[in-house]
Amino acid sequence: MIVIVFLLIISLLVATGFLIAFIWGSKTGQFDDHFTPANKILFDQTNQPTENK
Amino acid sequence: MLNKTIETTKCFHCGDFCMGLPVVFDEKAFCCKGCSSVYQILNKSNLCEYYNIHDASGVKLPESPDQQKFGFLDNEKIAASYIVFSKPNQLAVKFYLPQIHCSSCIWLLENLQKVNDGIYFSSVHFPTKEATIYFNPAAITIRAIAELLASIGYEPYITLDDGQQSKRQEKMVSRTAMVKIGIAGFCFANIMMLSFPEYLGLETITVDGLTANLFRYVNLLLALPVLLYSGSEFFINSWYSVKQQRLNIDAPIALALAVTFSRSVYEIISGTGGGYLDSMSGIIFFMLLGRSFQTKTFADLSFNRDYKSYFPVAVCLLDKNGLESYIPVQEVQVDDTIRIRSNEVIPVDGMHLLGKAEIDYSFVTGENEPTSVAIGDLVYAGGKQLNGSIDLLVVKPFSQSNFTRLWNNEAFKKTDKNVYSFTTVISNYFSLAVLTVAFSSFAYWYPTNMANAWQAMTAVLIVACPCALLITATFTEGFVLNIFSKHGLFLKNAQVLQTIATVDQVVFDKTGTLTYPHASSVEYIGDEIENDHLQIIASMAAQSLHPLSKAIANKISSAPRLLEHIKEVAGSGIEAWENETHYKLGSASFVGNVSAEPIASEVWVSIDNKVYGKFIIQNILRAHVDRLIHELPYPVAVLSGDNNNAENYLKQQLQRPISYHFNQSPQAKLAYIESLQLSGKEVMMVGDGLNDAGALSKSNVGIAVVDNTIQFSPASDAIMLSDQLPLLDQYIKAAIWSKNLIKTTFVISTLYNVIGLYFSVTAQMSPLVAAILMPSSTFTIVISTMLGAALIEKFCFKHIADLKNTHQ
Repeated sequence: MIVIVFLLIISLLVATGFLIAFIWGSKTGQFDDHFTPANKILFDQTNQPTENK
Repeated sequence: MLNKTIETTKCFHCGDFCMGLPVVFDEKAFCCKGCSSVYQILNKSNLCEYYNIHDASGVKLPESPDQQKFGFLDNEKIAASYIVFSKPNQLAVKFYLPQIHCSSCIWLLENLQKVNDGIYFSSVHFPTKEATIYFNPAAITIRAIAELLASIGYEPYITLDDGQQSKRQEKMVSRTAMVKIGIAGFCFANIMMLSFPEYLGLETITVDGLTANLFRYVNLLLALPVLLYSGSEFFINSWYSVKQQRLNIDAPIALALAVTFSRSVYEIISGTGGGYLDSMSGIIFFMLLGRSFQTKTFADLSFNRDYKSYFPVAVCLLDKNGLESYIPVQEVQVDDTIRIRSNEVIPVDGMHLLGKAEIDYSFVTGENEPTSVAIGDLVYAGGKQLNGSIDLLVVKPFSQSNFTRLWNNEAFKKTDKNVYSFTTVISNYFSLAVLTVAFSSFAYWYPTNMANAWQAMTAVLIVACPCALLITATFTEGFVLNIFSKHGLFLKNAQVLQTIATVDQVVFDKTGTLTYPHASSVEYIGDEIENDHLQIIASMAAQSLHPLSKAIANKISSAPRLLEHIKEVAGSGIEAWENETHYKLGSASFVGNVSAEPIASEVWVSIDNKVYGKFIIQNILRAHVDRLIHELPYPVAVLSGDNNNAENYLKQQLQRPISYHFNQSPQAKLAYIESLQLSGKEVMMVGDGLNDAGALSKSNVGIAVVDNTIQFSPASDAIMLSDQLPLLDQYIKAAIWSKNLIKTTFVISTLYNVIGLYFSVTAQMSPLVAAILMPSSTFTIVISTMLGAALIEKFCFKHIADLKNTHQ
């Protein structure tokens, strides 16, 4: 039975970890803008000047 | 001959069709010089990738960009309010760029450092359409950045309202609300998991000296943040509502939450049961979810704008030596000399000193025709200078100007629309019924079984909590708001939806709302004019800024040439001498036709003093508006700031009795709405300009019609895309149906409540029953509102394209 108490504590700890990650994410504004970062990742790196078209 | 030929070449930059000859650069076609100049800037900085991300994503430049427009940013005091971050050699400035609309915009704006070396980097915040630009103040000034942005089509929008930026942030679903939902969801799920022994009847089993009691205490611990943090707004709101002696839906919810929690605590501590913490946190979670869904906000749209946003932030002040400097508009003093440039709004009353004043007072009077002001006469705040720059001697300081007085008028102040929402009304009856059932079941059990009496009463309060009603309303409104915005109508909040459903009178503004703002039909009646003469007449018209001349110039497609001997007679017309011929274009009396009645929308032509004929210029109705007017099941009125020239045209087009009111000033429009309301009408006002702002805010539902959401609209309850206007009747229908949907789902949730009440009153309520009833009622509600909203969308909304088949 004691193992259930262990599981309980561990499962709560893991879940709390995710909760804290979520709170940290929202407080630092990571969920504010769903559009910009999602698009930015698709842009090609253009550090070198590209050929004119 | 007078038909305009439309080329079917698309502009490489903005994607518009090129009217007339396209401007060609680099073998690419552009619709105007502005577009090709943006391309040249981008091409020089190797930023043509911009066009690969999104085809023709460019933003069109305004026709005549004003070089001095951002001069005021040289004033440190003004510039300081846009700086968000500063350290040695690095400043950051934040601008609102309403033109941001796609991924190409983001790409370009985040590569600004390639256009100018003084910029380190920049970042875009898409939902609020703001860009933060980090730059080296030694290399580039704020003004230069603003001008750079304007030159590539992203002109920063700057208003007097310094708080604008923070307001836009507030409108986002707040981060705190998100955290509250997260915590409630987390605790809800864990409490449910830990309640499984209760559901399965295992709570009394003891192994190794451990009981399921441990789980109960963990549940209690988990429920605390839900009640105290996530659910705090219900208690705070109900406290305010009690203080104002007006019961809202939060009060009975707060009561139910308090009772549920107290009873659960009692059961757990006394060891008699597991309580209803799972139901309680579930309810809070779903209610918060519904609320955040309902408060869907349109962060980039502004509904609460006042007159100040139309005024310039700074004015150009002339000192004694004629040197220009910029000062904030609030600091303008009486007897200062200020310079107003072309297309600037005049912020203060002043005496006209220098230049040619052509003032468009349509903001104030609603009249479209510009007024010429002689030197020495007064120019009033709120007018817009059309032609070149003028100098004014300030006679009244900023806040006391004519215009400000008008808008500070009590009637213009938006009073709280004291509408008891449908939900509030029902919730009051509902709460009353619940309390009655709770106390009568208490009274029923009290003489025989004290324990059952308490149990029954608390169970009733727990089960019949009006949260189902709240969830019903919030989810339905959320879904319908989504559908509306998908179809081009953006509501300020969910309350507006319920008000639309009760409207029984619709009032339209004419110019710009029922008719196209610029496009007008030009008809020529009279003797035929030879092509050579027509070219000259078109050129004459093109050289005048008068709206009627512009319409004529647009109608006659020809490459205008510069005429040397041309004279504009203010208020009458234009005359020109070319090839030893004398041309006149203007009012009937101006061309020498004394017999004709002077009608403002007619322009007469004479060549060498022979009257040839006249152009009749008419604003034309938007497509399908006639169908809308015909379909609306309510009385309709049309208000217009213009003269009654268009009355016959409107009567002929809109074949139904409508009350027409012409020559209406903004105050008259407002007074008209007020008189309708006094006669017991719920008025919907549909308008577009600032001259409708008073009427829009006075009406029960004010809808501002805009051509695109970038455009700035007067304060209103809803913003509608102009091409959707013919569908207005469908929106009203959809609003009525969504109210019916709320009622239907409310009946469903009441059924669940009745089942729950049966268990409660008979004192058989077990946590298992509660745990089944609560989520299943919530899911039924959410699914039925979802289906209902989908049905509303299917049956209420037809597309514009379908209209063409059914009508005409």
